[in-house]
Amino acid sequence: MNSEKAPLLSVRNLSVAFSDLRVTDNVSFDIFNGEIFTLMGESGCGKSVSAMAIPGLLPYPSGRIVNGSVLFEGKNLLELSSKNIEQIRGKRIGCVFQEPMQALNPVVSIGTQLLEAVRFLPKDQRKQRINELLAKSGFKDPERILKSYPHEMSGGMLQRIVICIALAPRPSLIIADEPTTAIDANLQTAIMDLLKSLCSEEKIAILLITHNAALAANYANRIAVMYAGQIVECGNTNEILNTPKHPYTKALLNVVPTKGKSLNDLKPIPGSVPNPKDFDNGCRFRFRCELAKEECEYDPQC
Amino acid sequence: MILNVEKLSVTFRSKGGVVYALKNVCFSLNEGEVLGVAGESGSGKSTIANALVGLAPWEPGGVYNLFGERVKKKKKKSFAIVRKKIQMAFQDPYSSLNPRSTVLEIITTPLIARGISKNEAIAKAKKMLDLVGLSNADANKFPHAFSGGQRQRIGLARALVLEPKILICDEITSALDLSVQAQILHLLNDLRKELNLSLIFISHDIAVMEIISDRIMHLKNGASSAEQE
Repeated sequence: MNSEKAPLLSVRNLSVAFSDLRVTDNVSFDIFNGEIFTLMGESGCGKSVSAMAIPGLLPYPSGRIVNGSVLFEGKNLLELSSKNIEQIRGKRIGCVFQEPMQALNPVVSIGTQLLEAVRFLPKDQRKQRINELLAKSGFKDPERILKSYPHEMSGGMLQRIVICIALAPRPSLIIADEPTTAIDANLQTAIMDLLKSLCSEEKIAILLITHNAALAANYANRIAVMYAGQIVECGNTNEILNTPKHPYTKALLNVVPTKGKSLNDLKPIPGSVPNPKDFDNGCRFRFRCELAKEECEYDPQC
Repeated sequence: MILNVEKLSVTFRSKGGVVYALKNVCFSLNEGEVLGVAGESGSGKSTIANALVGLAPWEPGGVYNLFGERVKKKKKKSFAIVRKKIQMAFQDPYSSLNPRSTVLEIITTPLIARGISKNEAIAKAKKMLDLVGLSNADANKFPHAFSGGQRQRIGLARALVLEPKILICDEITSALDLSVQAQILHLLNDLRKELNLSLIFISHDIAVMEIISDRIMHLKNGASSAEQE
Protein backbone atom coordinates (compact mmCIF):
# COMPACT_ATOMS: atom_id res chain seq x y z
CA MET A 1 0.00 0.00 0.00
CA ASN A 2 1.17 3.49 -0.76
CA SER A 3 1.43 5.06 2.65
CA GLU A 4 1.86 8.60 1.28
CA LYS A 5 -1.75 8.65 0.18
CA ALA A 6 -4.32 9.80 2.69
CA PRO A 7 -6.09 6.86 4.29
CA LEU A 8 -9.73 6.17 3.56
CA LEU A 9 -10.39 5.54 7.22
CA SER A 10 -8.27 6.70 10.08
CA VAL A 11 -9.12 5.50 13.57
CA ARG A 12 -7.20 7.28 16.32
CA ASN A 13 -7.04 6.46 20.04
CA LEU A 14 -10.48 4.95 20.03
CA SER A 15 -11.63 3.77 23.47
CA VAL A 16 -15.05 2.27 24.02
CA ALA A 17 -16.74 1.69 27.35
CA PHE A 18 -19.81 -0.24 28.39
CA SER A 19 -21.39 1.56 31.31
CA ASP A 20 -18.20 2.58 33.12
CA LEU A 21 -16.09 -0.34 32.03
CA ARG A 22 -13.48 0.44 29.39
CA VAL A 23 -13.30 -2.48 26.96
CA THR A 24 -10.90 -1.07 24.37
CA ASP A 25 -7.88 1.13 24.88
CA ASN A 26 -6.67 3.76 22.42
CA VAL A 27 -7.09 1.68 19.30
CA SER A 28 -5.51 3.28 16.23
CA PHE A 29 -5.30 2.05 12.67
CA ASP A 30 -5.58 3.28 9.09
CA ILE A 31 -7.31 1.64 6.16
CA PHE A 32 -6.35 2.66 2.63
CA ASN A 33 -8.52 2.57 -0.50
CA GLY A 34 -9.12 -0.90 -1.82
CA GLU A 35 -7.08 -2.84 0.73
CA ILE A 36 -8.14 -5.68 3.00
CA PHE A 37 -7.29 -4.82 6.58
CA THR A 38 -7.81 -7.45 9.27
CA LEU A 39 -8.39 -7.14 12.97
CA MET A 40 -7.37 -10.51 14.39
CA GLY A 41 -7.82 -11.87 17.89
CA GLU A 42 -9.91 -14.13 20.09
CA SER A 43 -13.50 -13.52 21.17
CA GLY A 44 -13.70 -10.79 23.76
CA CYS A 45 -10.64 -8.84 22.62
CA GLY A 46 -12.63 -5.87 21.37
CA LYS A 47 -12.43 -6.42 17.62
CA SER A 48 -16.14 -6.16 16.91
CA VAL A 49 -16.64 -3.33 19.38
CA SER A 50 -13.90 -1.29 17.69
CA ALA A 51 -15.33 -1.97 14.25
CA MET A 52 -18.94 -1.31 15.18
CA ALA A 53 -18.02 1.99 16.80
CA ILE A 54 -16.97 3.25 13.34
CA PRO A 55 -20.45 3.44 11.76
CA GLY A 56 -22.07 4.27 15.12
CA LEU A 57 -23.46 0.79 15.76
CA LEU A 58 -22.58 0.40 19.43
CA PRO A 59 -25.43 -0.88 21.59
CA TYR A 60 -27.40 2.04 22.95
CA PRO A 61 -27.32 3.30 25.68
CA SER A 62 -24.75 1.06 27.41
CA GLY A 63 -21.97 1.41 24.83
CA ARG A 64 -20.24 4.75 24.44
CA ILE A 65 -17.03 6.18 23.04
CA VAL A 66 -14.73 7.53 25.75
CA ASN A 67 -12.17 9.16 23.50
CA GLY A 68 -10.75 9.05 20.01
CA SER A 69 -11.64 10.06 16.49
CA VAL A 70 -12.77 8.23 13.37
CA LEU A 71 -11.92 10.09 10.17
CA PHE A 72 -13.68 8.66 7.13
CA GLU A 73 -13.60 10.40 3.76
CA GLY A 74 -12.68 13.62 5.50
CA LYS A 75 -15.37 13.57 8.19
CA ASN A 76 -15.06 12.72 11.87
CA LEU A 77 -17.86 10.18 12.17
CA LEU A 78 -17.98 10.49 15.94
CA GLU A 79 -19.08 14.12 15.65
CA LEU A 80 -21.90 13.49 13.19
CA SER A 81 -25.50 13.62 14.36
CA SER A 82 -27.41 10.37 14.17
CA LYS A 83 -29.23 11.73 11.13
CA ASN A 84 -26.03 12.60 9.29
CA ILE A 85 -24.37 9.28 10.05
CA GLU A 86 -27.25 7.56 8.29
CA GLN A 87 -25.88 9.12 5.11
CA ILE A 88 -22.65 7.19 5.69
CA ARG A 89 -23.81 3.92 7.23
CA GLY A 90 -25.12 1.56 4.59
CA LYS A 91 -24.33 4.06 1.84
CA ARG A 92 -20.57 4.62 2.17
CA ILE A 93 -19.85 1.87 4.72
CA GLY A 94 -21.49 -1.54 4.24
CA CYS A 95 -21.65 -4.27 6.84
CA VAL A 96 -21.53 -8.05 6.57
CA PHE A 97 -22.17 -9.89 9.82
CA GLN A 98 -21.55 -13.39 11.08
CA GLU A 99 -25.08 -14.76 11.01
CA PRO A 100 -26.78 -14.17 7.64
CA MET A 101 -30.04 -15.56 9.03
CA GLN A 102 -30.13 -12.83 11.65
CA ALA A 103 -28.91 -10.09 9.34
CA LEU A 104 -31.92 -10.42 7.03
CA ASN A 105 -35.55 -9.74 7.80
CA PRO A 106 -37.34 -13.12 7.83
CA VAL A 107 -40.71 -11.74 6.72
CA VAL A 108 -39.51 -9.59 3.81
CA SER A 109 -38.64 -11.06 0.42
CA ILE A 110 -35.02 -10.99 -0.77
CA GLY A 111 -36.05 -8.73 -3.66
CA THR A 112 -37.52 -6.10 -1.36
CA GLN A 113 -34.48 -6.20 0.90
CA LEU A 114 -32.18 -5.72 -2.09
CA LEU A 115 -34.32 -2.83 -3.35
CA GLU A 116 -34.00 -1.18 0.03
CA ALA A 117 -30.23 -1.41 -0.30
CA VAL A 118 -30.13 0.36 -3.68
CA ARG A 119 -32.38 3.25 -2.62
CA PHE A 120 -29.40 5.61 -2.67
CA LEU A 121 -28.83 5.01 -6.39
CA PRO A 122 -30.66 6.84 -9.19
CA LYS A 123 -33.98 5.12 -9.97
CA ASP A 124 -33.06 3.88 -13.41
CA GLN A 125 -29.91 2.13 -12.16
CA ARG A 126 -31.42 0.20 -9.27
CA LYS A 127 -32.74 -2.90 -11.02
CA GLN A 128 -29.60 -3.16 -13.12
CA ARG A 129 -27.33 -2.96 -10.07
CA ILE A 130 -29.22 -5.77 -8.32
CA ASN A 131 -29.08 -8.04 -11.35
CA GLU A 132 -25.42 -7.30 -11.88
CA LEU A 133 -24.54 -8.21 -8.27
CA LEU A 134 -26.69 -11.35 -8.25
CA ALA A 135 -25.11 -12.53 -11.49
CA LYS A 136 -21.59 -11.93 -10.18
CA SER A 137 -22.49 -13.78 -6.97
CA GLY A 138 -23.30 -16.88 -8.97
CA PHE A 139 -27.09 -16.89 -8.75
CA LYS A 140 -28.33 -18.55 -11.91
CA ASP A 141 -32.03 -17.76 -11.52
CA PRO A 142 -32.22 -14.22 -10.10
CA GLU A 143 -35.96 -13.86 -10.67
CA ARG A 144 -36.67 -16.81 -8.39
CA ILE A 145 -34.19 -15.55 -5.77
CA LEU A 146 -35.84 -12.12 -5.66
CA LYS A 147 -39.18 -13.74 -4.85
CA SER A 148 -37.85 -16.05 -2.14
CA TYR A 149 -37.66 -15.48 1.59
CA PRO A 150 -34.62 -16.01 3.82
CA HIS A 151 -35.86 -19.31 5.30
CA GLU A 152 -35.95 -20.85 1.84
CA MET A 153 -32.22 -20.45 1.36
CA SER A 154 -29.08 -22.00 2.82
CA GLY A 155 -26.59 -20.13 5.00
CA GLY A 156 -24.06 -19.82 2.18
CA MET A 157 -26.65 -18.40 -0.24
CA LEU A 158 -27.92 -15.97 2.39
CA GLN A 159 -24.42 -14.72 3.12
CA ARG A 160 -24.01 -14.02 -0.61
CA ILE A 161 -27.23 -12.01 -0.51
CA VAL A 162 -25.95 -10.09 2.52
CA ILE A 163 -22.76 -9.31 0.58
CA CYS A 164 -24.86 -8.08 -2.37
CA ILE A 165 -26.86 -5.84 -0.03
CA ALA A 166 -23.70 -4.42 1.53
CA LEU A 167 -22.18 -3.70 -1.87
CA ALA A 168 -25.32 -2.47 -3.61
CA PRO A 169 -24.99 1.28 -2.90
CA ARG A 170 -21.32 1.24 -4.05
CA PRO A 171 -19.73 1.96 -0.66
CA SER A 172 -16.00 2.56 -0.26
CA LEU A 173 -15.62 0.38 2.85
CA ILE A 174 -17.12 -2.93 3.91
CA ILE A 175 -16.94 -4.05 7.53
CA ALA A 176 -17.02 -7.85 7.49
CA ASP A 177 -17.38 -9.20 11.02
CA GLU A 178 -16.54 -12.93 11.00
CA PRO A 179 -18.37 -13.33 7.66
CA THR A 180 -17.63 -17.04 7.30
CA THR A 181 -17.62 -18.31 10.88
CA ALA A 182 -21.22 -19.54 10.78
CA ILE A 183 -20.77 -21.17 7.39
CA ASP A 184 -19.58 -24.66 6.42
CA ALA A 185 -15.82 -24.95 6.10
CA ASN A 186 -15.97 -25.96 2.44
CA LEU A 187 -18.05 -22.89 1.55
CA GLN A 188 -15.91 -20.43 3.49
CA THR A 189 -13.37 -20.04 0.72
CA ALA A 190 -16.10 -19.47 -1.86
CA ILE A 191 -17.72 -16.73 0.24
CA MET A 192 -14.40 -15.00 0.98
CA ASP A 193 -13.33 -15.24 -2.67
CA LEU A 194 -16.61 -13.66 -3.73
CA LEU A 195 -16.27 -10.83 -1.21
CA LYS A 196 -12.69 -10.22 -2.24
CA SER A 197 -13.31 -10.28 -5.99
CA LEU A 198 -16.39 -8.04 -5.84
CA CYS A 199 -14.58 -5.54 -3.65
CA SER A 200 -11.36 -5.47 -5.64
CA GLU A 201 -13.36 -4.97 -8.86
CA GLU A 202 -14.96 -1.85 -7.40
CA LYS A 203 -11.93 -0.80 -5.32
CA ILE A 204 -13.80 -1.19 -2.05
CA ALA A 205 -11.72 -1.58 1.10
CA ILE A 206 -12.58 -4.33 3.59
CA LEU A 207 -12.21 -4.27 7.35
CA LEU A 208 -12.17 -8.00 8.05
CA ILE A 209 -12.67 -9.20 11.59
CA THR A 210 -11.66 -12.75 12.37
CA HIS A 211 -10.19 -15.04 15.01
CA ASN A 212 -8.81 -17.26 12.28
CA ALA A 213 -5.18 -16.59 11.41
CA ALA A 214 -5.47 -18.76 8.30
CA LEU A 215 -8.26 -16.60 6.93
CA ALA A 216 -6.27 -13.44 7.61
CA ALA A 217 -3.21 -14.99 5.98
CA ASN A 218 -5.10 -15.82 2.81
CA TYR A 219 -6.93 -12.55 2.30
CA ALA A 220 -5.46 -9.62 4.22
CA ASN A 221 -3.00 -7.02 2.95
CA ARG A 222 -2.33 -5.87 6.49
CA ILE A 223 -3.16 -7.33 9.89
CA ALA A 224 -3.62 -5.75 13.30
CA VAL A 225 -3.58 -8.23 16.19
CA MET A 226 -5.84 -7.31 19.08
CA TYR A 227 -5.64 -8.64 22.60
CA ALA A 228 -7.69 -7.57 25.61
CA GLY A 229 -8.80 -4.28 24.09
CA GLN A 230 -5.44 -3.22 22.68
CA ILE A 231 -3.71 -3.57 19.34
CA VAL A 232 -0.55 -5.47 20.22
CA GLU A 233 0.96 -5.71 16.75
CA CYS A 234 0.23 -4.30 13.32
CA GLY A 235 1.95 -4.83 10.00
CA ASN A 236 1.90 -6.26 6.50
CA THR A 237 0.49 -9.78 6.32
CA ASN A 238 3.89 -11.24 5.40
CA GLU A 239 5.62 -9.60 8.34
CA ILE A 240 2.99 -10.71 10.80
CA LEU A 241 2.98 -14.29 9.55
CA ASN A 242 6.70 -14.78 9.00
CA THR A 243 8.22 -12.65 11.73
CA PRO A 244 5.56 -12.20 14.41
CA LYS A 245 6.95 -10.08 17.24
CA HIS A 246 4.31 -10.36 19.93
CA PRO A 247 3.97 -13.72 21.73
CA TYR A 248 0.19 -13.49 21.30
CA THR A 249 0.53 -13.33 17.53
CA LYS A 250 2.77 -16.40 17.63
CA ALA A 251 0.24 -18.18 19.83
CA LEU A 252 -2.60 -17.42 17.39
CA LEU A 253 -0.56 -18.84 14.51
CA ASN A 254 -0.01 -22.05 16.49
CA VAL A 255 -3.69 -22.93 16.85
CA VAL A 256 -4.55 -23.07 13.15
CA PRO A 257 -5.38 -26.63 12.11
CA THR A 258 -3.93 -27.26 8.66
CA LYS A 259 -3.36 -30.29 6.52
CA GLY A 260 -0.49 -32.44 7.68
CA LYS A 261 -0.41 -31.07 11.21
CA SER A 262 -0.65 -33.43 14.17
CA LEU A 263 -2.35 -32.73 17.47
CA ASN A 264 1.05 -31.95 18.99
CA ASP A 265 1.61 -29.16 16.46
CA LEU A 266 -1.56 -27.53 17.68
CA LYS A 267 -0.55 -25.59 20.78
CA PRO A 268 -3.55 -24.35 22.74
CA ILE A 269 -3.24 -20.99 24.48
CA PRO A 270 -3.80 -21.75 28.17
CA GLY A 271 -6.57 -19.89 30.00
CA SER A 272 -8.75 -17.25 28.40
CA VAL A 273 -8.93 -13.53 27.59
CA PRO A 274 -9.16 -11.54 30.85
CA ASN A 275 -12.35 -9.77 31.81
CA PRO A 276 -12.21 -6.00 31.08
CA LYS A 277 -12.54 -5.28 34.79
CA ASP A 278 -9.17 -6.99 35.33
CA PHE A 279 -7.35 -4.94 32.65
CA ASP A 280 -4.23 -3.21 34.03
CA ASN A 281 -1.27 -1.27 32.71
CA GLY A 282 1.06 -4.24 32.43
CA CYS A 283 1.13 -6.68 29.55
CA ARG A 284 -2.35 -8.16 29.50
CA PHE A 285 -1.14 -11.36 27.88
CA ARG A 286 1.35 -12.16 30.64
CA PHE A 287 -0.95 -14.63 32.43
CA ARG A 288 -1.02 -16.86 29.36
CA CYS A 289 2.45 -16.17 28.01
CA GLU A 290 5.28 -18.65 28.41
CA LEU A 291 7.85 -15.85 28.11
CA ALA A 292 6.31 -13.73 30.87
CA LYS A 293 8.80 -12.09 33.23
CA GLU A 294 8.33 -10.02 36.34
CA GLU A 295 8.74 -6.74 34.42
CA CYS A 296 5.72 -7.59 32.27
CA GLU A 297 3.51 -6.80 35.24
CA TYR A 298 4.12 -3.06 35.02
CA ASP A 299 5.97 -2.60 31.73
CA PRO A 300 4.75 -4.38 28.59
CA GLN A 301 7.95 -5.57 26.93
CA CYS A 302 6.63 -6.76 23.60
CA MET B 1 -14.96 -54.20 16.44
CA ILE B 2 -17.25 -52.68 19.05
CA LEU B 3 -19.82 -51.13 16.76
CA ASN B 4 -20.96 -52.27 13.36
CA VAL B 5 -23.65 -50.69 11.23
CA GLU B 6 -24.90 -52.06 7.94
CA LYS B 7 -27.42 -50.58 5.55
CA LEU B 8 -28.49 -47.74 7.78
CA SER B 9 -31.24 -45.76 6.05
CA VAL B 10 -33.26 -42.91 7.50
CA THR B 11 -36.10 -41.19 5.65
CA PHE B 12 -38.08 -38.07 6.20
CA ARG B 13 -41.42 -37.28 4.65
CA SER B 14 -41.80 -33.89 3.01
CA LYS B 15 -44.13 -32.20 0.57
CA GLY B 16 -42.29 -33.67 -2.39
CA GLY B 17 -42.47 -37.26 -1.08
CA VAL B 18 -39.96 -39.39 0.80
CA VAL B 19 -36.47 -37.98 1.23
CA TYR B 20 -33.56 -40.22 2.13
CA ALA B 21 -31.44 -38.50 4.78
CA LEU B 22 -29.24 -41.59 4.85
CA LYS B 23 -29.17 -44.40 2.33
CA ASN B 24 -27.51 -47.76 3.02
CA VAL B 25 -24.66 -46.35 5.06
CA CYS B 26 -22.24 -48.96 6.44
CA PHE B 27 -19.44 -48.38 8.92
CA SER B 28 -17.75 -49.84 11.95
CA LEU B 29 -15.78 -48.63 14.93
CA ASN B 30 -12.88 -50.42 16.62
CA GLU B 31 -12.03 -50.16 20.28
CA GLY B 32 -10.05 -47.03 21.10
CA GLU B 33 -10.46 -45.67 17.60
CA VAL B 34 -11.50 -42.19 16.46
CA LEU B 35 -13.77 -42.38 13.44
CA GLY B 36 -14.25 -39.06 11.69
CA VAL B 37 -17.50 -38.40 9.84
CA ALA B 38 -17.08 -35.61 7.30
CA GLY B 39 -19.53 -33.96 4.95
CA GLU B 40 -21.31 -30.72 4.11
CA SER B 41 -24.39 -29.39 5.84
CA GLY B 42 -27.29 -31.64 4.96
CA SER B 43 -25.17 -34.65 4.08
CA GLY B 44 -26.60 -36.64 6.99
CA LYS B 45 -23.76 -36.47 9.53
CA SER B 46 -25.94 -35.59 12.49
CA THR B 47 -28.61 -38.05 11.38
CA ILE B 48 -26.04 -40.84 11.81
CA ALA B 49 -25.46 -39.69 15.38
CA ASN B 50 -29.18 -39.52 16.05
CA ALA B 51 -29.83 -42.94 14.55
CA LEU B 52 -27.12 -44.53 16.72
CA VAL B 53 -28.81 -43.41 19.93
CA GLY B 54 -32.36 -43.97 18.68
CA LEU B 55 -33.33 -40.37 18.03
CA ALA B 56 -33.93 -40.98 14.31
CA PRO B 57 -36.03 -43.90 13.03
CA TRP B 58 -34.23 -46.70 11.17
CA GLU B 59 -35.73 -47.99 7.95
CA PRO B 60 -36.26 -51.78 7.89
CA GLY B 61 -33.28 -53.81 6.75
CA GLY B 62 -30.58 -52.05 8.73
CA VAL B 63 -28.27 -54.01 11.00
CA TYR B 64 -26.89 -52.52 14.21
CA ASN B 65 -24.41 -54.45 16.33
CA LEU B 66 -23.02 -53.00 19.53
CA PHE B 67 -20.41 -54.90 21.55
CA GLY B 68 -21.35 -58.10 19.80
CA GLU B 69 -25.04 -57.77 20.48
CA ARG B 70 -27.72 -57.06 17.94
CA VAL B 71 -29.75 -53.95 18.82
CA LYS B 72 -33.48 -54.47 18.28
CA LYS B 73 -34.27 -51.15 16.71
CA LYS B 74 -38.03 -51.40 16.93
CA LYS B 75 -38.05 -51.52 20.71
CA LYS B 76 -37.52 -48.22 22.46
CA LYS B 77 -36.14 -50.09 25.46
CA SER B 78 -33.23 -51.48 23.51
CA PHE B 79 -31.98 -47.94 22.90
CA ALA B 80 -32.01 -47.35 26.64
CA ILE B 81 -29.32 -50.03 26.80
CA VAL B 82 -27.50 -48.42 23.87
CA ARG B 83 -27.34 -45.11 25.72
CA LYS B 84 -25.48 -46.73 28.58
CA LYS B 85 -22.70 -47.38 26.11
CA ILE B 86 -22.99 -44.36 23.80
CA GLN B 87 -23.28 -40.73 24.84
CA MET B 88 -23.29 -37.56 22.83
CA ALA B 89 -21.82 -34.05 23.02
CA PHE B 90 -23.37 -31.31 20.91
CA GLN B 91 -22.37 -28.36 18.77
CA ASP B 92 -23.92 -25.38 20.39
CA PRO B 93 -22.73 -24.89 23.95
CA TYR B 94 -25.22 -22.05 24.37
CA SER B 95 -28.35 -24.06 23.69
CA SER B 96 -27.45 -27.52 24.94
CA LEU B 97 -27.30 -26.65 28.63
CA ASN B 98 -30.32 -25.78 30.75
CA PRO B 99 -29.87 -22.11 31.69
CA ARG B 100 -31.80 -22.58 34.94
CA SER B 101 -29.74 -25.46 36.33
CA THR B 102 -26.39 -25.20 38.04
CA VAL B 103 -23.47 -27.05 36.55
CA LEU B 104 -23.67 -29.62 39.33
CA GLU B 105 -27.37 -30.23 38.63
CA ILE B 106 -26.68 -30.54 34.91
CA ILE B 107 -24.04 -33.19 35.46
CA THR B 108 -25.80 -35.13 38.21
CA THR B 109 -29.21 -35.27 36.48
CA PRO B 110 -28.32 -38.17 34.15
CA LEU B 111 -26.79 -40.09 37.07
CA ILE B 112 -29.83 -39.66 39.28
CA ALA B 113 -32.05 -40.72 36.36
CA ARG B 114 -29.98 -43.91 36.31
CA GLY B 115 -30.91 -44.54 39.95
CA ILE B 116 -27.58 -43.55 41.49
CA SER B 117 -27.85 -41.99 44.97
CA LYS B 118 -27.49 -38.23 45.20
CA ASN B 119 -24.31 -38.26 47.25
CA GLU B 120 -22.62 -40.71 44.94
CA ALA B 121 -23.77 -38.68 41.93
CA ILE B 122 -22.29 -35.49 43.37
CA ALA B 123 -19.00 -37.23 44.09
CA LYS B 124 -18.84 -38.56 40.53
CA ALA B 125 -19.79 -35.20 39.05
CA LYS B 126 -17.08 -33.37 40.97
CA LYS B 127 -14.49 -35.88 39.85
CA MET B 128 -15.61 -35.41 36.26
CA LEU B 129 -15.48 -31.60 36.55
CA ASP B 130 -11.88 -31.91 37.61
CA LEU B 131 -11.15 -34.21 34.68
CA VAL B 132 -12.49 -31.74 32.09
CA GLY B 133 -10.53 -28.89 33.63
CA LEU B 134 -13.19 -27.06 35.65
CA SER B 135 -12.85 -26.31 39.35
CA ASN B 136 -15.09 -27.35 42.22
CA ALA B 137 -16.02 -23.69 42.67
CA ASP B 138 -17.63 -23.80 39.23
CA ALA B 139 -20.11 -26.48 40.30
CA ASN B 140 -22.67 -24.09 41.76
CA LYS B 141 -22.59 -21.55 38.93
CA PHE B 142 -25.10 -21.36 36.11
CA PRO B 143 -24.18 -21.89 32.42
CA HIS B 144 -24.34 -18.18 31.53
CA ALA B 145 -21.29 -17.56 33.73
CA PHE B 146 -19.08 -19.59 31.40
CA SER B 147 -17.40 -18.97 28.05
CA GLY B 148 -18.13 -21.11 24.99
CA GLY B 149 -15.14 -23.36 25.60
CA GLN B 150 -16.00 -23.85 29.27
CA ARG B 151 -19.60 -24.68 28.37
CA GLN B 152 -18.31 -27.26 25.94
CA ARG B 153 -16.32 -28.78 28.84
CA ILE B 154 -19.55 -28.94 30.87
CA GLY B 155 -21.25 -30.71 27.94
CA LEU B 156 -18.41 -33.23 27.79
CA ALA B 157 -18.60 -33.79 31.56
CA ARG B 158 -22.35 -34.44 31.35
CA ALA B 159 -21.83 -37.02 28.59
CA LEU B 160 -18.84 -38.74 30.19
CA VAL B 161 -20.14 -38.94 33.75
CA LEU B 162 -22.25 -41.93 32.67
CA GLU B 163 -19.04 -43.76 31.77
CA PRO B 164 -19.93 -44.52 28.16
CA LYS B 165 -17.63 -46.61 25.98
CA ILE B 166 -18.34 -44.54 22.88
CA LEU B 167 -18.67 -40.78 22.68
CA ILE B 168 -20.27 -39.10 19.67
CA CYS B 169 -18.97 -35.56 19.20
CA ASP B 170 -21.33 -33.68 16.91
CA GLU B 171 -19.46 -30.58 15.68
CA ILE B 172 -18.26 -29.86 19.20
CA THR B 173 -15.64 -27.33 18.12
CA SER B 174 -17.51 -25.59 15.28
CA ALA B 175 -18.85 -22.74 17.39
CA LEU B 176 -15.52 -22.05 19.08
CA ASP B 177 -12.56 -19.79 18.40
CA LEU B 178 -9.53 -21.60 16.98
CA SER B 179 -7.58 -21.04 20.21
CA VAL B 180 -10.36 -22.68 22.23
CA GLN B 181 -10.80 -25.37 19.60
CA ALA B 182 -7.18 -26.37 20.14
CA GLN B 183 -7.80 -26.60 23.91
CA ILE B 184 -10.87 -28.80 23.43
CA LEU B 185 -9.14 -31.08 20.92
CA HIS B 186 -6.30 -31.67 23.37
CA LEU B 187 -8.78 -32.26 26.19
CA LEU B 188 -10.68 -34.75 24.06
CA ASN B 189 -7.50 -36.63 23.28
CA ASP B 190 -6.51 -36.76 26.97
CA LEU B 191 -9.98 -37.93 28.00
CA ARG B 192 -9.95 -40.60 25.33
CA LYS B 193 -6.76 -42.10 26.74
CA GLU B 194 -7.75 -41.67 30.37
CA LEU B 195 -11.23 -43.17 30.02
CA ASN B 196 -10.45 -45.65 27.24
CA LEU B 197 -13.04 -44.12 24.93
CA SER B 198 -13.79 -44.69 21.29
CA LEU B 199 -14.97 -41.61 19.43
CA ILE B 200 -17.20 -40.79 16.52
CA PHE B 201 -16.11 -37.28 15.58
CA ILE B 202 -18.51 -35.42 13.32
CA SER B 203 -17.32 -32.22 11.65
CA HIS B 204 -17.43 -30.23 8.45
CA ASP B 205 -13.85 -29.14 8.94
CA ILE B 206 -11.54 -31.61 7.21
CA ALA B 207 -8.38 -30.10 8.69
CA VAL B 208 -9.60 -30.63 12.26
CA MET B 209 -10.80 -34.09 11.40
CA GLU B 210 -7.47 -35.18 9.96
CA ILE B 211 -5.76 -34.07 13.14
CA ILE B 212 -7.97 -36.00 15.53
CA SER B 213 -9.22 -39.03 13.56
CA ASP B 214 -7.70 -42.43 12.85
CA ARG B 215 -10.09 -43.05 9.98
CA ILE B 216 -12.48 -40.77 8.09
CA MET B 217 -15.79 -41.54 6.43
CA HIS B 218 -17.01 -38.99 3.88
CA LEU B 219 -20.72 -38.50 3.49
CA LYS B 220 -22.42 -37.01 0.49
CA ASN B 221 -26.18 -36.66 0.16
CA GLY B 222 -26.78 -39.37 2.72
CA ALA B 223 -24.41 -41.96 1.29
CA SER B 224 -20.91 -42.78 2.44
CA SER B 225 -18.70 -42.10 -0.55
CA ALA B 226 -15.25 -42.99 0.67
CA GLU B 227 -13.23 -44.08 3.64
CA GLN B 228 -9.64 -43.11 4.15
CA GLU B 229 -7.04 -43.96 6.72
